[in-house]
Amino acid sequence: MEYKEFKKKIFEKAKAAGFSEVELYRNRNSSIDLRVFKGEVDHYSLNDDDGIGFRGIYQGKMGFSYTESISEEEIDFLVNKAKENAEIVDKEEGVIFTEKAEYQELNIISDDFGEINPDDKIELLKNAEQAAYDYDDRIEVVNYCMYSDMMLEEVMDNTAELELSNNSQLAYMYLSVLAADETDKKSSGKVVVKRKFAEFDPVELAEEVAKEAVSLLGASSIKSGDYPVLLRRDVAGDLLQTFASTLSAENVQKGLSLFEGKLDDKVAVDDLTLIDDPFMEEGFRSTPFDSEGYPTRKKEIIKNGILTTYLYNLKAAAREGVKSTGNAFRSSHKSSVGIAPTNLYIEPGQTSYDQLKKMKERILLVTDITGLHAGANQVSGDFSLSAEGFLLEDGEIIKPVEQITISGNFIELLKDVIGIGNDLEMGSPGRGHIGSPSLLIGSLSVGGN
Amino acid sequence: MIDKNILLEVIDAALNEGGDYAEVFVEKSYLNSIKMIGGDVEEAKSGTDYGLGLRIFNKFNGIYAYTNNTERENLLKVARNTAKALKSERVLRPDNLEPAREMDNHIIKIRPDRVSQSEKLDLMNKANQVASNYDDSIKQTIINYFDKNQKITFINSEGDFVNDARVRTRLAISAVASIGGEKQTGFYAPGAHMGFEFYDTIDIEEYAEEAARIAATMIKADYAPAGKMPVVIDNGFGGVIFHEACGHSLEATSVAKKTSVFADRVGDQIASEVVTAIDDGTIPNAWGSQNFDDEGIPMQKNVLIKDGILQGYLVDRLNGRRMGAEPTGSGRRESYKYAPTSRMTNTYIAPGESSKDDIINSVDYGLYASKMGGGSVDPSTGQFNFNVQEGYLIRDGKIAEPVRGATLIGKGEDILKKIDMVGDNLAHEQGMCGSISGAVPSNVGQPMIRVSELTVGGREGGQS
Repeated sequence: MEYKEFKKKIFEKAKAAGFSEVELYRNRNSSIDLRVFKGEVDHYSLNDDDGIGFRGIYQGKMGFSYTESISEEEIDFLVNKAKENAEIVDKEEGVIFTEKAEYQELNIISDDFGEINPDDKIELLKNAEQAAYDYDDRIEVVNYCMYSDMMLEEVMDNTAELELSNNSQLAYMYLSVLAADETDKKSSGKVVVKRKFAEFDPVELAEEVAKEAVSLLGASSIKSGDYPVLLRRDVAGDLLQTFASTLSAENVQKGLSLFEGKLDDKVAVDDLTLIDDPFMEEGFRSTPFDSEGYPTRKKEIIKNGILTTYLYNLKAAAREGVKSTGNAFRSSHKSSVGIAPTNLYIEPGQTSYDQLKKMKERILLVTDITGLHAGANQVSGDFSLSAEGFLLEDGEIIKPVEQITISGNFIELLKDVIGIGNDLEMGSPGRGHIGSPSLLIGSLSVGGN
Repeated sequence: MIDKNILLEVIDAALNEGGDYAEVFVEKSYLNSIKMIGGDVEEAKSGTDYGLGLRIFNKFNGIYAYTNNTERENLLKVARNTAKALKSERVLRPDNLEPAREMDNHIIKIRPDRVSQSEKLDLMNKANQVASNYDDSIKQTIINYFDKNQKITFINSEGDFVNDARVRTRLAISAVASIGGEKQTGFYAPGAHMGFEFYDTIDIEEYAEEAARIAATMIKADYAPAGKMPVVIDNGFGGVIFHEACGHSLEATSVAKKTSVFADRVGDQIASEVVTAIDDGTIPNAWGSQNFDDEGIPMQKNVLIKDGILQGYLVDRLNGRRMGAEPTGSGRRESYKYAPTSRMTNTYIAPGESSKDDIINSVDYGLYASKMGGGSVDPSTGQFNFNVQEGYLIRDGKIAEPVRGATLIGKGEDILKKIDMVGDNLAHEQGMCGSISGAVPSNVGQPMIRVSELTVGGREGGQS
């Protein structure tokens, strides 16, 4: 069934069923996933996704349904289910964006990845894999050597005549290796995201990952205690990503955020500024409108250590009588409209990564943390995470470190940042595209021997 | 859902350019969920997942494609494009099909997608009442209801033809305790491969009270100590430790590539003699059970470790070819959007002979992890981490003060050898396990166990 016809029919049926305003959100995505293992194509997947999310306001309340089958028979299902769902919602807080708005034009140029021969993508992977094996004899196996590219199309239509669409393309490469010697095994991995195929450098990626795994061999634990800790930029970014949901006004309103009651308070050191920028050229969550069709804007969430705003969608904004910040987010047609940053990063400072390493006589450099989904509490801000890295003295590596935990509290950490690197790197996009420079923390509790 | 003759045409087209095996997996799933925060329904949602996944093998290579557009012409186009990517020379076409196989090992009495959303709401209100009224420290509750009816058809070029329905329902309860700006959460989420009658078999109010009790206890607790010590892990969700630290490393996904620490070690003593571990996808109505796996093979009970000796792995079709091993009914995927691979179902450490008291009394100073949280593992090194949702110190053989914020870290190989006592109180709990074929429902389980030494990550310095 044609989408236009589907839209016309469902809008009519919804109005007849008593909905006041109705919105369709269509999410199409065609992608390829490739994995190479020991010179052979290990996984090859061609994906063609399409789905429609339906939202409608019934007696002031929002009803929600979705389908992946764009057919006549689904129209009644969507309308009836959304109505049944609206009926059990408690508060009359349903909002659909009905105003006319101006949208920033973005000028982001990507390759058309669908036009690139899959053989070239496989070749890229084979080169990366080979480069990792060539780097050092101790690279026992390249666990994952993956490439993925995707064409994403978001379409929004509502009964207030909103018609928006946004297309974007991007490609990922991920490499992870296992290094081994007689006594130890260590793994390391990294994701790189690009808009231009030619910008992938398979050898550089392979060497970076292989070097790290090899240098961690022979790692051991260290004595438990408090240490100054240097969170390398990717680790700092992972930690920020974990706590990004606490910036959501909805989580604050529900008592589920560590930032509750801290608006206009000092929540970080003076030099720390946290920015959400939907127009960032190198940002993979750049967009002129959010998932409710509301125009996006750039903002400093934490400015010189002061928390200046939470992130809002229409519903959370209406609760406080403020304007949306354009941070409504849904990851697909299936997902609810939540709140997420667009491109979120800590503003880089002046200090180089090498200078940060020398700022204290003895520093624990952390190059990997795991357990973020379980060991970090968004409500309390407490975290306790398994970590790996290196013990530094006067900026030099003394020994690789493993089997330790670093523990602390996210807000206490933001107030104990004693050095901000100039090496901002954005991570891989997910619920927001998030990045950080390297951060030197005055003291964290380390669990080891 | 789609005429089987069209599916056979698709398989035929998929093998047009070669390949020695092709399969289609058609899915239509109905999902319902309701989210309640602080007693108010924030959102209710219903949806249909629908699509077809196609896979072709050529010896050890597999290629996968999926689409939501199931018009015959589009399916044939997808099949032909997929076949082209395989670049194979051998040609083999499917034989005629026997009628579809169906099994009914997990009786479903009340299909939850036919229960009204307001009936589900009654259940949520009951849980919310108990949790929010537990005591003054409970400041917030989050209750999430979920059900799914997944109907699948599987056909392959070897003539396997299977229809299956997987009906699951789950209620997740979080209670948040708060005192002076600090917050702690307690969580329970019972679920089953069962209809809405599941909630007649459990007392949801008990779960709600437990979630609230954990939050209210932990908010008053001091931080856990850091360092190495004996750790006693209680039954039920404690099984996540075996799931993460060892189970993933026994999946053919990593064993076939020999990236697992347990590759080529069948017959070796990999765990202490008190450890027997099992993955059983046949337990009636259990959360991780179903009639057939997602490769059309009946689910099995697989003994992974017996008396500490490695017996075998969890094997899917493609990795089975690579390893020269038979599949074990372990091919699973979140949906048609994922190529299946070997995954766990209901995984547990079998009960031993020690009583709970014997185990606790045996520890002079250590950590008692009464309720585990989540965790993760790097299968290539076996390094794992878990967080402890509810923990206590053990002093002089007795459970002493509660401690919060503890994390357990270690290596799978090491911990298996350090499990030196296994209790007699096996219990299972439900989780969603994430891996390369998506998030699949799986049970974790164990009796109480004692680990002679583990690294505990906490905030306080060494032994007090």
